Amino acid sequence: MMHSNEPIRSVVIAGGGTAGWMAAAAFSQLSGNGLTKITLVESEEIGTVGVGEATIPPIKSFNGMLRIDENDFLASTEGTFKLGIEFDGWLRPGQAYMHPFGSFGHDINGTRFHQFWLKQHYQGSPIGLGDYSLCNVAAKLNRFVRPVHERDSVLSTIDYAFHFDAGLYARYLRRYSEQRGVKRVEGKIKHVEQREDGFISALVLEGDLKVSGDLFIDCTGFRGLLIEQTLKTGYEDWTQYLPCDRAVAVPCERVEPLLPYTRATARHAGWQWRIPLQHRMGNGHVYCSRYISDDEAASTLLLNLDGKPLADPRVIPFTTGRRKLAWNKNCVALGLAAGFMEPLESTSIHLVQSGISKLMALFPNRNFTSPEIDEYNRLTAEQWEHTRDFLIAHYKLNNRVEPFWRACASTKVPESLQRKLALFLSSGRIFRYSDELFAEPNWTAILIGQGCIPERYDPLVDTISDEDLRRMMRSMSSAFKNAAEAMPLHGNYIKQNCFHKLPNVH
Amino acid sequence: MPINRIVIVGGGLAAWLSASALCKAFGDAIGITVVESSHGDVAGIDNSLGVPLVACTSGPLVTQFNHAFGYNEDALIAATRGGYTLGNAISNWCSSATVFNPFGEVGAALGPVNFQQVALRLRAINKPISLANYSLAALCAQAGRFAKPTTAGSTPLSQLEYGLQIDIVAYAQALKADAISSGVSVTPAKYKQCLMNDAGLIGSVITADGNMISGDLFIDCSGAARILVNSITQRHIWVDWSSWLPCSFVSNVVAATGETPQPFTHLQAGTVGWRSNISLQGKQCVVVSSVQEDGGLKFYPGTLAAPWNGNCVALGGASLVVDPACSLAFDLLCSGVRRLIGLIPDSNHCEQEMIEFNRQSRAGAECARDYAIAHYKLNNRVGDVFWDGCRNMQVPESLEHRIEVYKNCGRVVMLDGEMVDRFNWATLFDASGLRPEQYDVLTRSLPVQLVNEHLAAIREALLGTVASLPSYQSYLSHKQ
Repeated sequence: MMHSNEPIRSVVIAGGGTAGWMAAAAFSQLSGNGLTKITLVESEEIGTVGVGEATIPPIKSFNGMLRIDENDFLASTEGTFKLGIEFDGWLRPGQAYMHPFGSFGHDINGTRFHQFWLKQHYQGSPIGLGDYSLCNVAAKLNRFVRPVHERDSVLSTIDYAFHFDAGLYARYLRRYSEQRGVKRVEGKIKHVEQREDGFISALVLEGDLKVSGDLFIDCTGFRGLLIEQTLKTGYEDWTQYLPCDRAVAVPCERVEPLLPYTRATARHAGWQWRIPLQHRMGNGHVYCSRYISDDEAASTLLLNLDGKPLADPRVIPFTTGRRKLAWNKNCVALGLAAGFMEPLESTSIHLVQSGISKLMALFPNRNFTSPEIDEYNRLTAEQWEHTRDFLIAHYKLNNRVEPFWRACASTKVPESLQRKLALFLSSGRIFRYSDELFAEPNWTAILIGQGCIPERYDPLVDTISDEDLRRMMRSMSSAFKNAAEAMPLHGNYIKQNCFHKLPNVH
Repeated sequence: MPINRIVIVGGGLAAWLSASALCKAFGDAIGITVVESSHGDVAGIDNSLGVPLVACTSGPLVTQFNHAFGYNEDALIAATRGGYTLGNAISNWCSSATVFNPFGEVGAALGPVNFQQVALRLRAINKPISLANYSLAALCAQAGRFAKPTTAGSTPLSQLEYGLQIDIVAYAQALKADAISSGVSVTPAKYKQCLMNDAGLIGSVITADGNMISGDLFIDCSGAARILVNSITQRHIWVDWSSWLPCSFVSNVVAATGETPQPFTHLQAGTVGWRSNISLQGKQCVVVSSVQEDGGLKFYPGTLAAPWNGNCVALGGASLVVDPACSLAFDLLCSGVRRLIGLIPDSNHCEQEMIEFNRQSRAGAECARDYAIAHYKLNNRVGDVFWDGCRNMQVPESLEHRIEVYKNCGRVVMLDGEMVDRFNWATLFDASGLRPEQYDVLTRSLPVQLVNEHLAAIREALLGTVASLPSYQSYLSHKQ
């Protein structure tokens, strides 16, 4: 069937949840053209995955694009601020490090700061890399303040993201979207109708309501009702690299103080997350079912909560990997329908966001020509693979003794990562591939934190005298320390700016 | 063990730029020797970019390089009677009018809608608009004004980007003087052979007069002669680009002129190739590249698959050769030198640095190649046999993809190793007359009046900035 070069009249989003409503909110801007209708189909009966959700800094630009007031959004979603992730026990039990947002120190004459730190480290200095990151120092003091935008101020080096309740975020975006003309249709999808050429033409709901459209966004979660069950797109399984295949999640009471960071603690066959929200904490245990049973995993989780559990633990099975084509015919998969990576670096929401912005930039017409689709799939595959490599590095570089961790350490990693690790180990150099989400400071934090200390530092470092170097290093760390100590406590900052008032309690 | 000695074999711009930048980066920590080995050099001609040239023009990568290494660019340009450039004017290529492909940012986004899409909104209602009219560089070039970008704030001037137009031999001589005064040693002698050590690496270089110069790392800056590369390994792979870059003869014409120099390079498509007019102080240099010999000198477009092999690194024309018409040869040299400085290895271990260097070089080379080929592929000289052939040729898949995506939805594909920014690709596509078939749904919702106001505001801000700048001539004379 040939279609002319006419604009898309109707976008149909299958599935609510975080991915679905993020897409709806973003695409609600399209309805301004008077041509494109946005419809979201969801069923209250189908649960969504995701409770306490942690994010990374680009989420701010998504909210910014929607012109959402940040304090209002935080107050509505139990939201808190996040300055980084603490990795506890990943190298070996008892050792912890932070992957802070923002950068480390200041580069000098174009040479990366961590190279100077390396020299100081070789000379026997006990000062950790984290002492040269304002986000890291502030996080350890449970302090937070938003950055100031003056180039010379040390406070300009702050970067942050959020923790929030993903269910509340979806509800918040639903309200936003419906106010902007997105139509919500309640109902379970019974059947997907296809044209002769395989393109999807309509969703048929129980009760035989038919929702037709030109472009379909699959946000139906793991099962991928459109992209997989209908279009048989195929899935690339990455379990050989990232062997965890289940998670068990439970919320618990919050304890003081309110932490401005996520924690990921290594357990004997996986790891446990802790996400502080305003009034409770999200917790979960990601594990590999070959090494530990569901019951053991759940009891490990329950034994290691900061506060009293607030619900029964819920098990979520998953297969790490990605859909072979995130965009197939007239269907684009977002969220879990596009693939799954464990929340180790809080990338789930970012991958949704970035899928949406790529789709906006490459928005098709009704003829669905292949160059846009190819470009979308190229960029998506690249981004997923870069993120995957970053996660694998956390597992690969451990010194733990349990069989699960030994197996991770001996995993054969993708060639792209192998090259990156070898170069870093040789001389601490790291290069960002085009469009890579995680930049040099992120990689540096993880690699140094995981004990991957380069054999030597960049010879350019020696162009600065030892005395000058010591002076600069000292002044940087004390500037960060002083600035962090002057910040308000995270809990107080929230109370003053974006406090979530609980409804009258049950 | 850190590297102690670097030996550069060759001469010209490639050798002296490498030597002076290495010296600026490492100071006394690394000793640098240049074996200035001439091979049939002709006075006034530089061979180190792989094409015999008197002059060349560059993009912003060169000036970023100068800034990063702390060169006094104004002094260099004044001393070598060179000039600056804000982009390329291109004539007889796509339409009867001369089009301009500027450097730096073009226009400004309107909320979430990028500038190319904003322009498409107007085209959809048949209002003509040229992207370059919203570029500060293009407007300055047109008005004959110039200034360096300011570093403060976010004024239009802080976004300006520019390249250089240089007399290559004079520029190389100035870098040579700078390098020698900073301690680089020079051995003017013909290269004879190199001696390999037990590890299979180059241990030293022997000159025709019997001198032996040993080092840890060796750089081949001998242009297309590739004297070191050719003597160490029989297995190096040359990737030939001549099927996509048909011009392979170059001739140089220099004319003294009393005319005011221009802050841009003028590229003119001819029947079987290009003429680029490089505007220097006191002279015009015309570089003609052609498919026909016509007294020109031969060159071979292509690249080494792996410019770093063992402890020998090829830079400049020894590493890769592109058509002088596309103007990226100087940029490629600078990015190669910068890459090497960022990856200076240890004397015993350089495997990982080499792999990364070659990966990045290959990516950069392919992006530069695509950019050059686009100048042929996108021509609109219908009826000229040569240009018809270029328009119909099969181009590399990556370029095909760039063109198709732009044609479909106006989006610029950016790949790893890109040598020009997305604005430059967009203005090249736009100048060639390539028009996206559709504009995005976000754009459709923009009221035309809002678009008009937005464009008017940009023009006003840009024209105001242009009017506040000195004339190019007076900028140059104040820097004397």
